[in-house]
Amino acid sequence: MLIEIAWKNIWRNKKRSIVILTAIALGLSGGIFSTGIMVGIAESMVNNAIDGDLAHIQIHTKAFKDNPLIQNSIPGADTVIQQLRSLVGMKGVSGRVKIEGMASSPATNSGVEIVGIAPKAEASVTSIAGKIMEGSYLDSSNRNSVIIGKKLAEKLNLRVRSKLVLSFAGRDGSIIYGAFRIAGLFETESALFDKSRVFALDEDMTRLLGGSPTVHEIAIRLVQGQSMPEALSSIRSAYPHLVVESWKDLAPELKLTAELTNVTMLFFLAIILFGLLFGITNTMLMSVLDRIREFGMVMAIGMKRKRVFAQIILETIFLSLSGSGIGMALGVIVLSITQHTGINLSVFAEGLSIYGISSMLYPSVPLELYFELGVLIVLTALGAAVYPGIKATRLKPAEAIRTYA
Amino acid sequence: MSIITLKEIEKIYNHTSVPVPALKGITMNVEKGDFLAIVGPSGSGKTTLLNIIGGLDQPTQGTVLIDGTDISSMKPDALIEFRLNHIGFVFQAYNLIPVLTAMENVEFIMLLQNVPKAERDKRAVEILCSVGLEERMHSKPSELSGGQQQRVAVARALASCPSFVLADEPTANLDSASAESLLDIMEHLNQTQSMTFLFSTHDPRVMKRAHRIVTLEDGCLISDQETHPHTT
Repeated sequence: MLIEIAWKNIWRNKKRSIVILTAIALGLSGGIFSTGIMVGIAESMVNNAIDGDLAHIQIHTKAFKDNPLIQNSIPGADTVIQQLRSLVGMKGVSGRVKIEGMASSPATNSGVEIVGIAPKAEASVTSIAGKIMEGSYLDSSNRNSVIIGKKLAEKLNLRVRSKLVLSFAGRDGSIIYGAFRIAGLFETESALFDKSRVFALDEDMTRLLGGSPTVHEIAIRLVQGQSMPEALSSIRSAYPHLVVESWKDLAPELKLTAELTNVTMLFFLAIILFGLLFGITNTMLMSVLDRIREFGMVMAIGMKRKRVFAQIILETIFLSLSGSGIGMALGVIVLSITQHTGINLSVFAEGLSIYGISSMLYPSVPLELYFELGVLIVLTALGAAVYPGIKATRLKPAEAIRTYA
Repeated sequence: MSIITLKEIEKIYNHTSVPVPALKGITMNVEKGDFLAIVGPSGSGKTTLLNIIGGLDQPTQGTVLIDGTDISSMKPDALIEFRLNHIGFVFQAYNLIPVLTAMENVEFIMLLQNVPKAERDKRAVEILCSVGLEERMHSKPSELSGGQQQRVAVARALASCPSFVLADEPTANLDSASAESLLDIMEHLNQTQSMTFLFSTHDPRVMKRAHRIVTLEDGCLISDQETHPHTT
């Protein structure tokens, strides 16, 4: 019955309750949507990095990690790759030749990272094959072809089918030159990536390096749902002489961004709730002041102070949860719609690409954030109820009964 | 046996720099079945005395025994518990909970006593019938007349099975017909159930019905007259 009374009491002054419910609902739905955008941006950065280049796990030799020279390749890389492909949970495994070099055109030249790949294997690890804007992806049968970023092509003043010369230091320190034809131009979410990467066929790179197959990096993509720590652990135990790292180890700044975003947004929501706390306190205080005579009466006839306090807490929780429920529902509806349609930020595409963020944003809120938010809401309600509750329980029944509010 | 015993009750208010004596050495007993009116001009100490008897205020000096228990030095929470189980209250302004129906208002006090739901329902219906509100049990206070609301208040006071009912100016806000009807009900309960009623009042209609009239003036008890024979 106390619960019923508490619920009914919320609606005694409908206008007042609706005003605070609206404030809570709009504040929370706005907060949830903002959180969705921020988390969406962070996820976009992480996913684009994983899709574009990082993959989930990378393997190198320790020597290559210390000094990325051509000779610091992975011994027996083909065998390692074959063994990795047979492990459970592997979506794709790609061996890469990685060389720092120079890309030259008749117009100018630019420092680049030359990545030798097996096109099919690489397509199972990254999304580069799907980012071709002009021309076509690499084809093993099409010798001496490369794909480069659209931005690099603009810088070098090259087009599809144009000739490009790559130069880099060989095993013995001599400069090796190779002439390639541009098969396609790619455009990813990262401007930096597009300006600095040239993808060539691994066979062409092997030939230029003197004939022995060379792999500096093995990139691994896990199937969805595969546990990263488990995969890391099994690969590390299988190849203790190699350095096996997850994308979090390879790009700690991305890991930090992903982790900090959730914490930051929870903090942001907590600030919104802290602001709402004063509004809820004010509403409950008004409600108590309106009912001084009633509280005096219930205490006179035998309602204990702790029960009066509990009733005010219940009313505050109901009020807060009602507003929060509406706010969360609104937030989830807006999120669901925008998760489906995406938010087109192409106006800011150039700026976003600097940070590797897609211009089409898909907001996302992790489920655990709703639970954390629920706890925060209950804490806010409890906080908001304290002062009105104390005010009510300190009333003297004999005086309160004779108050004409 | 006396259900209320007041011994040398004094009450001095210290709200201002000058102490104001409200009650001066009141000594009296109330017997079970009394239908007693406390009368006197404004400022004579009627409400203060009623508050002290009801455990809503404590005397500066003296002893208040209710059913043999000294409540004059009880802690606030113990007093609340005591009031719940021993004293019924009827207030001048009805003081019902507006969001509850008549029946729920009556049940509310039994809820505080942790009476099981089935018994609460049964007793609430019986009491509301006894005050003539069988047709209005599910009406909210705003749908009831002043007289009907005060009858709900009487029903609520009786629902906790108190030793006595304190009624502070119960007819002050009622028209003549409603006041007479309410007094009829209370008098009937007094006669049939030996329920003890204490009124503080200015109302001659209440004084006329009272079986005993205690008159206060300037905080002193100046007369204590039995006007009708005792029911028990």
